[in-house]
Amino acid sequence: MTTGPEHTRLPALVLWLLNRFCSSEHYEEFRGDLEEIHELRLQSGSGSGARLLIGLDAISMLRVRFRRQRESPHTLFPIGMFRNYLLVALRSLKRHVAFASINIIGLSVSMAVCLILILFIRQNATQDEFHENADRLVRVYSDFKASFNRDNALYGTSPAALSELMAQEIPGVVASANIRDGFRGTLEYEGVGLPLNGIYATPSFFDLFSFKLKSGDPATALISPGSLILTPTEVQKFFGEEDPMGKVMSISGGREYTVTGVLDRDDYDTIIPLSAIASYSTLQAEENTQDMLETWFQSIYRSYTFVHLSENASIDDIQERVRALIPVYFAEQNDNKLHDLIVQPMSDISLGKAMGNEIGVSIPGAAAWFLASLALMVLLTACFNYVGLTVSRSLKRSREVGVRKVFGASRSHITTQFIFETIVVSSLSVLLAVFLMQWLEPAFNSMSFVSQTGITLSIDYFKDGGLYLVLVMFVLSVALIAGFYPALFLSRFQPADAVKGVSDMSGRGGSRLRKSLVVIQFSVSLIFLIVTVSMVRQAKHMESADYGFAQKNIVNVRMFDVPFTRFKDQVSRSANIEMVSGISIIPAMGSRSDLWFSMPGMTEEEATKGYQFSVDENFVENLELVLLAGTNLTPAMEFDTARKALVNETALRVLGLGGPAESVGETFIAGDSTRVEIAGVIKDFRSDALTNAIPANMFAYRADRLAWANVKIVPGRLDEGIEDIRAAWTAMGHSRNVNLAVFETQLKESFTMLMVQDMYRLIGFIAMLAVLIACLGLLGIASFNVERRTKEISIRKVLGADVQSVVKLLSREFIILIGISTLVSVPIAWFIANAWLQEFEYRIDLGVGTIAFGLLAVLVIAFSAIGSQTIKAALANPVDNLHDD
Amino acid sequence: MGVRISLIKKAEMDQLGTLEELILLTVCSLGEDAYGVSVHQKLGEHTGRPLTLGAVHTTLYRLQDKGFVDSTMGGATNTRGGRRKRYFRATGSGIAALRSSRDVRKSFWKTIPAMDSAVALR
Repeated sequence: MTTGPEHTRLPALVLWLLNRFCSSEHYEEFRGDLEEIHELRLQSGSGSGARLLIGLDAISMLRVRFRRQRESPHTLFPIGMFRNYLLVALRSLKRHVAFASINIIGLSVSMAVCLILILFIRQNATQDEFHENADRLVRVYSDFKASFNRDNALYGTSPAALSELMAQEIPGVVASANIRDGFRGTLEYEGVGLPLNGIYATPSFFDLFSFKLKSGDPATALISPGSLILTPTEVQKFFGEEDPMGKVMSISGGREYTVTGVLDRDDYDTIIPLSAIASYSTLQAEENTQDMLETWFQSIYRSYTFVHLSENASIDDIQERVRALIPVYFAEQNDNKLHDLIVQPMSDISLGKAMGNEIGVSIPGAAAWFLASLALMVLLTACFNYVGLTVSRSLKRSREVGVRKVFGASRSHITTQFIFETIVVSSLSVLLAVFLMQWLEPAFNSMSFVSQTGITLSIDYFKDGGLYLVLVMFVLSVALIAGFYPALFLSRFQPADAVKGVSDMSGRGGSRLRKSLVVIQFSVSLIFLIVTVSMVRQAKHMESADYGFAQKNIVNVRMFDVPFTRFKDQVSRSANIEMVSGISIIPAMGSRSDLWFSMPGMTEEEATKGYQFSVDENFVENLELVLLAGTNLTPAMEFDTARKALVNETALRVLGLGGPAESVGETFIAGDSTRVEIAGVIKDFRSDALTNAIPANMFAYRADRLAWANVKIVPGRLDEGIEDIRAAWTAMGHSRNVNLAVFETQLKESFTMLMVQDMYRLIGFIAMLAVLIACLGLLGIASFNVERRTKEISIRKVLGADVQSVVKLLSREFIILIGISTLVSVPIAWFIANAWLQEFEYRIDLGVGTIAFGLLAVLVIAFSAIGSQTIKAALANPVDNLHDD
Repeated sequence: MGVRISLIKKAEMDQLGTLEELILLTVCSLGEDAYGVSVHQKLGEHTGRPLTLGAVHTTLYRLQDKGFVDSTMGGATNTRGGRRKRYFRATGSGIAALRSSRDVRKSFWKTIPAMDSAVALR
């Protein structure tokens, strides 16, 4: 049997092992032996058996003493080589300034946005990690069904008694603290009164958390009833430079508190609101609060249970024990059900599950990841740009690669060199991004969802060493994502092909990839843009919403404990005031007072939830509501005695009553058993926030529940009117400052409105970036295409092609690609925008117009990018391009 | 080439392991034609228990380290893809080691007459 040098029947694995691991010294002998023995076995026995045996033989040859030595040990860290890579990279950037700047601009802008969001999420994620026992601190929250709710919901709170119970009954609990919110009112000291939003805390507060006191003793500061700890900022407001310790302050002219401590600083990175902390014993000392502190189902809404676990306690074990407390201590009553108490590490609160009654405002995890994925998408678009541009320019680089290979560069050298080039580009981009971030930071912090959390993003390069790590990681990961494929692609060129000048290198492998990248980029841009357009339209729609009631020239004044009639008499004296009416809750702001509507004989399940308002006799006229049937309320119709009320049209519908006229005089059941006669019917108006459908409403005359006055001011005299309201308030001699708001402004600045505006600003900004980056990429590819086909175009022109046909030729490919993007993105954008709009009861129809507008915008930008290049090429004089040949 | 660290301890340098002895015997019996594959095949025939080729090579090189064999590359071949073979040949000390091993065994056999004659009878 003779085998030629090229012929072998050895399995590929065996050859690979031999090539990879066998030293050159032994290679020939071993390879020969393997070949020979394999032939022998093949002749005598089965092929599969022989293949198995030869495999074992080859593996048995993997010995240390036959191992291949590294060819040149001194290249372990070839500094000279890296210097050369850097030089080549910089030269290449310099030679292709236009391409480099397209890449760097695109990358840096998207990096800046991405980094800001990453840092913001990081800052949220590290909240409350400064506590000494941070990893052993847990919070207990509840899965609770309240009697007024149909379903159970998660609450950040838990029964007030739980904290102490856990400390006493559960082994593994080192300490526990109870924090209770609702320390509210006006904090007063020597004539200065400021609104207060503080907490009550048990003395163990300072055992659990690592907050420090500037003055006062943490061990005793929260023990006696009426103790108060303030932050330096609060102290500054009330006392200036005076020493606050031992000073007596009062809340809303009532309970007195003694300052027993001052925190050392304000800016703790914590979810616990710190501005004012009162001792929990204050609540315990008050007779009438006992039930609210002891009974589980009553105290479940406002108390936060924080626990410090011992080193060897497991959360699962504690969880089981806490759960076991529920049947023992929770007495089910009035359909209240405590489904579960859940033990949660404190570090999981921020960026965790969204739940009711959360201790501070935090970004729920899902929202944070949504933001991050948006940013990542923009970054990927920029990376795709890099890939697309580099690959499309590969023809230019192929000669360089060929020559390098001829001079002995291996493929891995070339790959490293291109990756290195990408690292240089992404490093430059990060540097630029750092500058951009300084500029974006304030804009980002001013968004209401950020400012609400109290976590302002602060980028401090001196304080925060981790920041550099983030930046370096960023450079490397971007370089890898953007640079990996081009490096592999470019290093594949063979010297022969390159030198021969194979004309369409990029057409072979790069073309399909490049086209799909363009499609992806444009689809993403289009989706963003269409969603943004629909958001902006929705926001405008809401701003100009017809609420169905008057809001112009109306100023809402909070009554606090001032009797409404007294204020009304006082303020009505002014000539600038047209009318005053009273109401319990400002409509359309999202606040509500629940009421169940049913007809006599209906079961509990058939009842429908709606809202009730307490109003006065001027309410209908002042808010310019339409009374469809029946009579208006009068002071004689005081609800508690007369049991008569106005309802809206929706109420008639849910009660199954007929038209307004025939429903007057009918009786329905409000709440559990109160029978109410319908005195009149009001035309539906937006009594709830625009996100919700108009609910069933009952308007009852209750003079003692009018918490707000709607003061209508004579048109054109708003400022004077407000002055008169202030004067009237002062004239009554109340200790509080007046609390008033212009209704129109109040509606525009409501929570939902701000959220919508934030959303479209953020998404709009990202959309703009995506479009910009995609167009930069398109510009790059188009200009390259034109450059590559200059001669072809010139010849076509010489042979009689006109400008029009040349432009058509050059842009045909892009038109097809953008067409595909449109087909891909329009359904997706439609779906996303519609899903978002479902959140709003009062919403726009997502018409063809919105989609068309987004589409048109992208097309105009895209074609101006392509057009500038193609038209330039089409108009060029062929002689200029051909005279060399 | 760097310094190759010998994996064989000094004390073992003149010892002959069982496998080494068998392979050295095979090399001797093959005379001029002892190389990897032939040693592998012959040993397989005699013991009925084939080794892996790697084990054969390792042992041959260890014998060479100990000075019991030496080797030369042969000329180009017609078979095995034209690749050359490395031929091994027992050295004087190799043959001496085999002899002394045989003598040790023989002297032991003589101390067990019953077993020795039983073998002789068969």
